[in-house]
Order: sequence, then structure tokens, then C-alpha cells
Amino acid sequence: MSAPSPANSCGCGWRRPLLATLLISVAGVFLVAGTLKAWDPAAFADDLRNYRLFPWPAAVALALYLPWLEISVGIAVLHPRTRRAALWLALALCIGFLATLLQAWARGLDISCGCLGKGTSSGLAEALLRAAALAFATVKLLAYTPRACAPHHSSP
Amino acid sequence: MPRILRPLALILLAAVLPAAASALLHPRRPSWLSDEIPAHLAASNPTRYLMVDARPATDFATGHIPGAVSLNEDAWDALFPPFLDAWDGERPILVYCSSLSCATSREVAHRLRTEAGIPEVFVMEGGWEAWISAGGPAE
Repeated sequence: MSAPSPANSCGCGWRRPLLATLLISVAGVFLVAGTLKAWDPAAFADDLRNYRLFPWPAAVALALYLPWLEISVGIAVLHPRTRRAALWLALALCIGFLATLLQAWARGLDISCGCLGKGTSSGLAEALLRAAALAFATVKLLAYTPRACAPHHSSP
Repeated sequence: MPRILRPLALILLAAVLPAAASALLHPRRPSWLSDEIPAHLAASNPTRYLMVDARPATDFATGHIPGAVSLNEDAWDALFPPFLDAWDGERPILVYCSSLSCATSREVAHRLRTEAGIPEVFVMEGGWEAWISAGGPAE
């Protein structure tokens, strides 16, 4: 006899539309941001260098890899099997990005954040707010997407 | 092994192949070689480059590297022709702005590469402050 479905404990009812909206928003942000940066990795490497945190070869490697990681996270957030892992990764990316922005602000660096690729220069304060909002949304999703909601194998 | 590790590894690995493809094939892939020249190196051989001062006109008037040409984004259209007159078409360009935290030299260097099609454009690390600290001449 299989265990009763945990569906009713998984944020159903009024929470479901809100969670769905948050999920799509978080996925959308990562997909768009990743795609814009993947379009011009040289410009993104330039932006990373301006943070004065990494040697140039590391900035190049990150500029090539991070956009595709963001796209991968954006897609994985939408799939139930990879959702929790993707949300944890999204949160780690948000925290890393916040730390980078904060150190740039503390050092008084005059830079464009490079969040959405070149040509979309936004101030540090605006970028900090966006990153904080994204991190908050990710934390909420992690809290309301318990493990029991992920597809599981019923015991025989 | 926690269940989350497998999907985590999958997401991380899924980005590796397109990233590698970008590194090899992307038309806008970054060069692995840095375009920054430390100020002390530039100061040891200043005539090797055509110096381009990306700071505002008032800063340029206060003091600049001898022989430098002023070229900033505020007055690009007006300053670009004199820059072209000063450049012999062969010397590499070295752009500087005020300090390490200033990014305008990078913006000017980017425009010179993309709009003017000049391939050998470098940026002085640390800018004017680093040049002075390295004992570079000023006029």
C-alpha cells in the first residue's frame, strides 16, 4: 500500500498561484540575465574585471561559464526534479553577487554592475536592491517548496 | 549521498559544454590575454604608446602625461578627429583615466576597438594616480 500523497502539504490552495508566479519570475530573471551575458562574454569579462576581485584569466573563465550556469539554473527551477537544487544554486549565486556588489560599493568603485550584459548600465544601489529581492524570492520558494513536493517514488 | 547532489551536479555540468563551445567559437569571446598595462611598465617606456587621456577636460588641463591626447566620452565627436591626427596608425594606444576605481578608460578603449576598429588598444592599470606614484612625468 503506497503512502498517502503529500500534495496537500505542499503549498496548495491560495499559495499555489503565488508560488507559481515567484517560480516563473525567478526562472525568467536567470534565463534573461544569462542569455544577455552569453550574447557578449567579452563585455561581461570586462565588467567582472572592473570589480577588481579576480585575475583576468579567472574573469574570462567566469564570463564564459556563469551565463550558461544562469540559463541552466533558470531551466532547472521550472522542473520539479531539479527545482530544489536549482533554487539552492540560485541562492548561492545571489549571495555571491551581493557580496561582490557590496565590496565594490565599499571600495567606491565606479562601475556598471554588468548584471544584464553591456549596454544596460545600472548603478550599484539599484543592482544591490535587485539582487536582494531575487535572493528573498529564492528563499521564499525554498521555504514553500518542501522536499515532499518533489516527485518521489512510492514504496510498494 | 544526499538526493540534492545529483541534480546539483547535473545543473553545474549542463553549463560546461556550452561554455566550452563559447570559449572556442563565440565571435565575441574574450581574449585570455589581459589588455591592461601596469602604470610602472608604461612609465618605463612611455614613447611606445600613444597615450589617450579619458578624463574630463578640466582634469586634462590640470595635468596629463606628456604627449597624451584628450579623448573622453563627453566630447567624443569633437575630440576624435584630433586623436586621429595624432595617431600614426601603427603605435599601440594606451588609455588612462584617473585611478583604479575609474572605468571610463575602459569605455573609451572599447569604443576605439569597436567603433574605430583599432586592434591594439590597452588600458593603464591604476590610471593617472598610479602613473604619478610610479614617477611618470607630467605636464
